[in-house]
Amino acid sequence: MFDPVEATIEQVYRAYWPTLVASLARWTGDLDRAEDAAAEAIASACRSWPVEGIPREPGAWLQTSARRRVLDRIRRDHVAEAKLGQLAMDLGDAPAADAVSDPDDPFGAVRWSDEAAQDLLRLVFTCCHPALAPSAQVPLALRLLCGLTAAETARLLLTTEPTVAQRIVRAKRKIRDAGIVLAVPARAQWPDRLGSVLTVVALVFTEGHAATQGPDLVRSALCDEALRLAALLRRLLPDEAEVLGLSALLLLTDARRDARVADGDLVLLADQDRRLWRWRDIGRGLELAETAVRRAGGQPGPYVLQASIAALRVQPDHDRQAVVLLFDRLHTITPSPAVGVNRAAAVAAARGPAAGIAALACLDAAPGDHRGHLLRAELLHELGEHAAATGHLEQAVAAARNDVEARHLRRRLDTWRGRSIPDQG
Amino acid sequence: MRYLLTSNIDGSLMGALADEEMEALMGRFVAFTTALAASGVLRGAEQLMPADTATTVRSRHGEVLLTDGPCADVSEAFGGFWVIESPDLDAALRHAQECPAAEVGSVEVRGLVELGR
Repeated sequence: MFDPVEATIEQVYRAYWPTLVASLARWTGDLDRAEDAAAEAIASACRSWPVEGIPREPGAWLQTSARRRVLDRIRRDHVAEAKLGQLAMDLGDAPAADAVSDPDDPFGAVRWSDEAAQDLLRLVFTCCHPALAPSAQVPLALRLLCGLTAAETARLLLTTEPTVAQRIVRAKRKIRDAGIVLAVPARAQWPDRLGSVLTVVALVFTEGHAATQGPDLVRSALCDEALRLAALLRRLLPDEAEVLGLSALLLLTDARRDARVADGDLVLLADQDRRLWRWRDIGRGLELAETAVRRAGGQPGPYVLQASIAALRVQPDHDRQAVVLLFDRLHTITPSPAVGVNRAAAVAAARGPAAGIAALACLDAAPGDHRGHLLRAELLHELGEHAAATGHLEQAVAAARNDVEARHLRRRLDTWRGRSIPDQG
Repeated sequence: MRYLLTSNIDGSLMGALADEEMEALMGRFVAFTTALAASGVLRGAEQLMPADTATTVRSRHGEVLLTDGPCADVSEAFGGFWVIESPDLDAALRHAQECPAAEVGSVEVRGLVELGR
């Protein structure tokens, strides 16, 4: 139960938002109407709850308020009387969302009926449909599943509110005009479709954890939203190995958030102050990783593999050869340049710099990616090939778009070139 | 001999039209189609949904790749078409990925405007 004194109105309505939108979407068959009605219900709550207090059943309050608005709107739009009649009959049929308490889970204060969970699953799969561009999936998910406004989403994604609003409008238009239906895909399609969903969540997290551009290395609000989405998926699909794997990976990675930046500068994993790691999250992440591996049976997917790697690396003296083997499997399933570089780093950690260079040699150099150049630079430096190393580090500096990472690389470049760093005072 | 006439719109030229010019243009489209029908030469005509509602399907090394949007690859050239009836996009995409064109190019999947709906 939400404590009326402690919980803010925002915490309450954000917990109820996704099921609100999802059930309205199913009820009206129209994402636009659903979102508008949900937003109006929230606005109404923000006006009356401070005065009257948070209702005992906020979910029911919001559902009723939203559904009344849908009917009002439809009346005003002169939509066919038949539709109006049919919807009005369903007014009392809002899926149950009762409050229970679970402090760890942002949705833990809300119990979902099976119907509400199904509605939500439909909405999740629709927002992340692979026919939508990632640049549409991400703001759509942040809006419809996390309840962020266009302004908040724009701030997190370092773009403007009109741009985000436009992307969401076009995404909803495509959903309507291309015939993307609000449905849970058939089980046979789940590997691909769930993969799409997990990719969206991972994208949000990656953007928050190692921001590709801008002044901050970690945009923690984005990481929080990604963790929120992962928690949502875990509630909906508690037995899916890849969902558990993704959750584990995000928790284990985010647990290091406070140690990654010191005084505005990047701190490498090996140098991080482990006392700043969030050990409770690491504990939960390790548990989830273990469960994920069990659920996966002998066929771990990419997120279970990544979670296993992250779990091993929690210990400073972990089995580096085991990490290489996990990367071998990961690279077989998802042979992306990023995975290739990470695998090469693992090979270097297990077998030495020359082996790492050899592993990199098999990859096509992705020109824009500074991590490949950085790794080459580090390994060549270890092997004593300073000229070649410096050349690659220069390319890494040129390619890095995040200010904190670029600054860190430039310092290293100066050190290698033997110049002293000017006193920053 | 039968011919296929395809309409390929420049969005910026369309966008530059004033409202009355746009309305007039739409009227001329209807008149054009009606005239073709009246003259007995028309074998079929459809309007597509806007290009940004399209989905492009490619199949490479057995893996199906979906992209949002129309075929934008200049190295690909329009070569044939099928009109199918499907309950939703997912069903249409499943057919599209069986088309051999997906392996040596791409298959664009776009809804048709259903008049009188």
